[in-house]
Amino acid sequence: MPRSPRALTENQFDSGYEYPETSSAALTRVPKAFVISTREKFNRFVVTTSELPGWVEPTISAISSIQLLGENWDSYGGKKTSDDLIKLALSILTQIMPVNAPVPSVVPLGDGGLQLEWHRKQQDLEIVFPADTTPTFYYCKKNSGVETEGFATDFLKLATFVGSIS
Amino acid sequence: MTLTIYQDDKSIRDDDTLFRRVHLKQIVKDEDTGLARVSSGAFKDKDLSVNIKSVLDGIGLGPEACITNRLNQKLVSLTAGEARRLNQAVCRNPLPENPSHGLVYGSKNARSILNGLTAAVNWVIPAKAPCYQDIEVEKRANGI
Repeated sequence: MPRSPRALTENQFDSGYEYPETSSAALTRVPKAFVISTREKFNRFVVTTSELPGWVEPTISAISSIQLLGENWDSYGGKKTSDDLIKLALSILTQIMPVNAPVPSVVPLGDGGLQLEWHRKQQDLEIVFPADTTPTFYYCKKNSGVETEGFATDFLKLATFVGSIS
Repeated sequence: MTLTIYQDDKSIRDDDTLFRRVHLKQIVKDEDTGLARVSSGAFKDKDLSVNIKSVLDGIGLGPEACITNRLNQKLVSLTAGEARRLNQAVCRNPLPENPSHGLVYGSKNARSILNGLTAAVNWVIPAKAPCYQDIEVEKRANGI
């Protein structure tokens, strides 16, 4: 049976299973690291941090909810989101998101991929993880009309853009 | 593997409306307005399924027929002309259970096309962009 996130310990977080019994405050008492995993517990991401960033729990919750979508979830033959892409997306987020970063919208794609996106401060940022091609990003600053596209492995650029919308 | 290439069907007029269902999970928040917007992720299929309004009209059905019994779906539209201006072919692809089924066919990899499609769509059900908060409430109520 699918489960939602739950705290593994006070400084670990497992994306696949049960919500924490207490609020996230329990997770933020003295955490020095947190763990994000998908369904396979041996695939964990450990990130050392002085505090559990506010974006983590809602993002994992959103990711868990798209993991629960079955085949044909969109009525157009949409495929289940790939666990590998979820791991990749989380891995990239942990490298580009500052502690105060806004929570991304997590959008499943019909091909089994996923997309993370923000639309705020007159800017659009989308990081796209297609099922079968290299992840990319798109950034647009609406006021100036400046648009940038690139590969999602360009962490420096992505971190700058996330910083700009934070 | 069979590769199907669809041709543009000129019998579908430019002003004909094409309906597309959008799953609640593909509706995101515009934090500057607080309104819901459809993610570009909803329009990435090379052969994007739609329902053709003129065919629905011909069998006496309204747009609501596109989302009957589909709890987690909303409905948006664009015109065939708008799709064509974005280098897409528009064609009929009737299915036994859905005679109004059609396709907006073509690569949507270029950002200009994806942005164009996203900008071109209008809300149908509901009739205008809802507050994102309402979408969130619906997601929670539906357990997604």
